[in-house]
Amino acid sequence: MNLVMKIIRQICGWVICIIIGFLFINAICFAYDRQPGWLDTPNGASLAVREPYSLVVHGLEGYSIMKTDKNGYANPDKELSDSYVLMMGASHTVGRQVFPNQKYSALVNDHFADDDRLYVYNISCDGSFLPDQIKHFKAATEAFPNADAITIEIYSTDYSIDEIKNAMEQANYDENDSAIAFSKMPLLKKTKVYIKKSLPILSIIKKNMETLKKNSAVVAEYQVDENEYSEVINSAMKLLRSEYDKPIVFIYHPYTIIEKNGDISIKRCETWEIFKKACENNDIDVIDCGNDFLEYYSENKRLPYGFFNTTLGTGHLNRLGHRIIADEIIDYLEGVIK
Amino acid sequence: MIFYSVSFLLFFCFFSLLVHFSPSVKAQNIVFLVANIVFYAYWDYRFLLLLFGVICICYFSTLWYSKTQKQWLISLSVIICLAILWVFKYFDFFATSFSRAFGISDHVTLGLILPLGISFYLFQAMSYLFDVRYGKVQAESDFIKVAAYISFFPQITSGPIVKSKDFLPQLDILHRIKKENVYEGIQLFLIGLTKKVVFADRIGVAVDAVYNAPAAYNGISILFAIIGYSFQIYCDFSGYSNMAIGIAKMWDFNLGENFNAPYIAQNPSDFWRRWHISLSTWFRDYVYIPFGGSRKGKVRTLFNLFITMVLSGIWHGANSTFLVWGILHGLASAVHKIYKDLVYDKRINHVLPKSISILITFIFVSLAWVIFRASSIQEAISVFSSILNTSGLMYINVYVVIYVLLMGFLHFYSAKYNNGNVITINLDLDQFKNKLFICVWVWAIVLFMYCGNSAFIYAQF
Repeated sequence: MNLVMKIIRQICGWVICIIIGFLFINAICFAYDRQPGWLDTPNGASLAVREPYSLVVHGLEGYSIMKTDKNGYANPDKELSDSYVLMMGASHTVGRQVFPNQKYSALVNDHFADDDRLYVYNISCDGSFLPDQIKHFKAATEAFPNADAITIEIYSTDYSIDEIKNAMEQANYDENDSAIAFSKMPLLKKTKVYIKKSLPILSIIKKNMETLKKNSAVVAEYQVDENEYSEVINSAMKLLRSEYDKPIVFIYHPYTIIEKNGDISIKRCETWEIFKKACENNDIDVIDCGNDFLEYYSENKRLPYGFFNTTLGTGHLNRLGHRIIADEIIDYLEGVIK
Repeated sequence: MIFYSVSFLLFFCFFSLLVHFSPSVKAQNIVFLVANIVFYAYWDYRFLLLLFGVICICYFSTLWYSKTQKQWLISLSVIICLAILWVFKYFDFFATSFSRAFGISDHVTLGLILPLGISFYLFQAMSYLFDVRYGKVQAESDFIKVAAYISFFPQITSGPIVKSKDFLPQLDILHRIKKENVYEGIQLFLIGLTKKVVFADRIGVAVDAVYNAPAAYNGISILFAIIGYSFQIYCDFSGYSNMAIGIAKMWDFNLGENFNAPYIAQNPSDFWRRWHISLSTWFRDYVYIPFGGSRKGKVRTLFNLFITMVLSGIWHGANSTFLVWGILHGLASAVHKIYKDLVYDKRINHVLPKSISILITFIFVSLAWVIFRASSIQEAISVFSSILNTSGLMYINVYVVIYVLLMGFLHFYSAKYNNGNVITINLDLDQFKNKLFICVWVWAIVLFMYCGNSAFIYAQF
């Protein structure tokens, strides 16, 4: 009996310690990496939104702390101007890796805003790539009808024909499919979101597992019929043009590769030229930042990607990358709007 | 089957039960052997036959030797072991180098895959042969015991190389899973795991980036990467050793120490008493001493030192970089011996000269690691020449700074407060606060571990 009690006491002791240890390390995560609630919005202006007014701490790549606005996007909590520039994009545009005032959307805003209102509105969303931008474009224009121009950040144009075709079946805008939905969530879903944001260590474990899985996965080589791609992407760009008659500009930032001899080269997507042509055909502008990256490197020996806690030349845009893109956008907007 | 995987956990728990409930020593040794076979086959079943062949050679030759006392039996078996190592590890390198040197364009290479752990288990096998030859152990009549020793799974892929005289007696006792061993083993395993997945792998990412294109980085970044690699390889290899020793400990085996705060070594010889101790003592016992050690005059001593270090370098792989690395360590050991004998024969006890000795040794060892790390001498030269880069990318990885400082502090603490020996922990996990410490530690590993691609550096040898 004594032995059984001893074993039970030991097991209980371990379980309690595991829980306390978990909570202790979880508390550290609030300063290391903490993501707020996330809601998929299939009929919204973007692929998903974050919980409004919540704190985002990101320390896995670079380091930043930011707060979402009332719509669940990565903007300062200010009123929107009567007319503004709408910025769509993926994680690079969300810019969790740099401080909020270093993001290209904030830099462009600071340049143009002449009062305390927002001139640039960033509706980017992690994992929202070119097909998602096409899919949500119409909804975005309906949700933000007073946009003077729309910028769309992309780092790849290499997608399958099917992905682009599916994207052209666009989202039907529903104004309830937005941050408002957080307040109307059923209790079960609300609890799930609450647990997720209260236990940031779970997101890190999930991310680690995904990385491990990705390491063992075999990546298929990208192959596409160029003629078919050209046809489909042309139709997609035509569709975007038909839905919005003001300036649309794609911001393309290709990856940089550090060569053995110390130079860097730019790796553009296989379909980039076809994509660019499709944009030109439909009066959509394109900014290719590749050459700016090369020039900046040769003059200053600094790269637009990479951080002090990852490696240089890889990952997301760093402070410099955001600055270069912001300068390009400012030049562009000064030409077409102001 | 990597040590920190679910498959290994299941494997280990299953065999731990079998070990614990084995009715006799003989039955338990069979369990050990089966576990070894399963573990090795899970990695690469194709080379099980080679492993079996090596075991047979050792078993039968020593058995025959014990009956006939014919030394050539042992010599022949050692030659066969070396020949196997030569064919699998060195043939292609020497064939290519020879052909290149003599301008032969049409040469033969075998293109064989290096069997996992071949350098480690062949050295264990030779250890058995030598120990029988020198009368340190009796030729074993139990095949299972010899097989269980040579193929012992915790250390077969990356060491430590355990000598037969230290291991075989441990197979004569009935092992039981004891609480105190499990506690110690878990802590050793956690130390190793932290060194590997938190420190080494994260430092490795930063070091690899610089070594892949040294010309792109400025001198400070290069120096930083050189220091980073010194700690990466230490954490990687000693981390594996800690895990292997910890796992063996849980089964009541003692594999000895393999590292002892190597970066507080005061000279190259001291470094080798602290780094990869099992390999250093192997070369000491089976190469340096049989060659005459320090008993045959000063010049011969220097030669023996030099040749032992060169062989130790070549053991790491078939590449001119390992040869040069071995030569450098051989020269440094010889130079230090001359200095010690002629100029300074007293132990350095004052803090300043001691610190300077440690610093100089660390700088030498770190610069030599550049050659070890490089894939060719040209690449090493490129890294060395990049130290002079005044322009280029400035890259100081924050994790490297933190982990290097932490490891540096642990080395300093070992030197100052632990009589120059590595500090280790062995907490009583019956106490609640110690349990809590372990749990926080495990969760911290989960939080800070690196999940990218990362193999053990020494597994390639």
